[in-house]
Amino acid sequence: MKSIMADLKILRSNPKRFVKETKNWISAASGSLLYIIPLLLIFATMKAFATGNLLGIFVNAGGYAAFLLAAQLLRRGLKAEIVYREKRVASVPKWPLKGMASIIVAITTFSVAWLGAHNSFMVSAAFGAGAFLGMILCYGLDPSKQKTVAGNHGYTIEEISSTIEAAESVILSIENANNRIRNLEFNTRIDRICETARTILDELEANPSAIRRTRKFLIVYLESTNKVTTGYANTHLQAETPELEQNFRSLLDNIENVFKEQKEKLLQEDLFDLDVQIEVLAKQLKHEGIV
Amino acid sequence: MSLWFKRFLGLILLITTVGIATCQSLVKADEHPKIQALSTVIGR
Repeated sequence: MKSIMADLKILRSNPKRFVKETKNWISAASGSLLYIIPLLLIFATMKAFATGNLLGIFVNAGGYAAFLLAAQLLRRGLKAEIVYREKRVASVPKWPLKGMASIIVAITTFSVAWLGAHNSFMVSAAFGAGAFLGMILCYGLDPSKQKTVAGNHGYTIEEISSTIEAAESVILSIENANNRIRNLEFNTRIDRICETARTILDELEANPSAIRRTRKFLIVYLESTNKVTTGYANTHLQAETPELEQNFRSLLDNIENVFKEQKEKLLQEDLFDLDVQIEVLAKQLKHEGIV
Repeated sequence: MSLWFKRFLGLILLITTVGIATCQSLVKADEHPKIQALSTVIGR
């Protein structure tokens, strides 16, 4: 559940990377359908109250609450599925949320048909089975296979996912800091840096054997960029001096250039040169008092 | 069966079953089966 929530957090706050196919009409309509269809149960509850039908009150009110729960689970399941589809490397969602929603809908429909509408047991069972089948046909089953990249890269799905998610959260932090900076030039540059970082993460997903090199790269560069950007975002509104601006500009220049170079080198698997470059930048950042 | 058709069929099935069950429940929300059975017995 925790990893699904982490995925959803990334999805919600980081739409550029994952949300590419949310325009699917069935997905868009799907989340809200289970909120809308059982609306009549509210009126049924009111009618049961008005006529003093205690069983009716419980069945109709409880039924509506159960449909709402199923709708929530379904929406989360659909979002988790989008995250799963968009990733090249992904583990199976921990909870089969869509399946749980289908079972709740089936049981609730059966109960409403039996206790609320006073149908026979078998007819009510047919209602429940129909609702279950409808849910499965309409929304499908939960993902059941782990997605990984072929090849002997020697990393588990958890290692790859955690590296990528950690880097994603740093990129997100940079973007949040960038939103607080009131300078179009800097905003554009930081956006470009984040784009390059995402390209590297895409490459990493496609080729996990580069994790060792990429991890070092991400720790030094992304973390430093994060510190620089957050620091500037915190201070520039209080004391904006031309000197501070110029320092930040030159740092961004360096980071941006070296970032591009590193991306190319990573793609070319030029390990030795990469390590040297990382050392140079680390020293430079240390000299500037950032690391 | 294409995916689109499968989803459409599922949608119809879902709307039909849940929709009819809730409609029936609304119509019969004022019925008390046990009280009605009792009044039938008393009526005899």
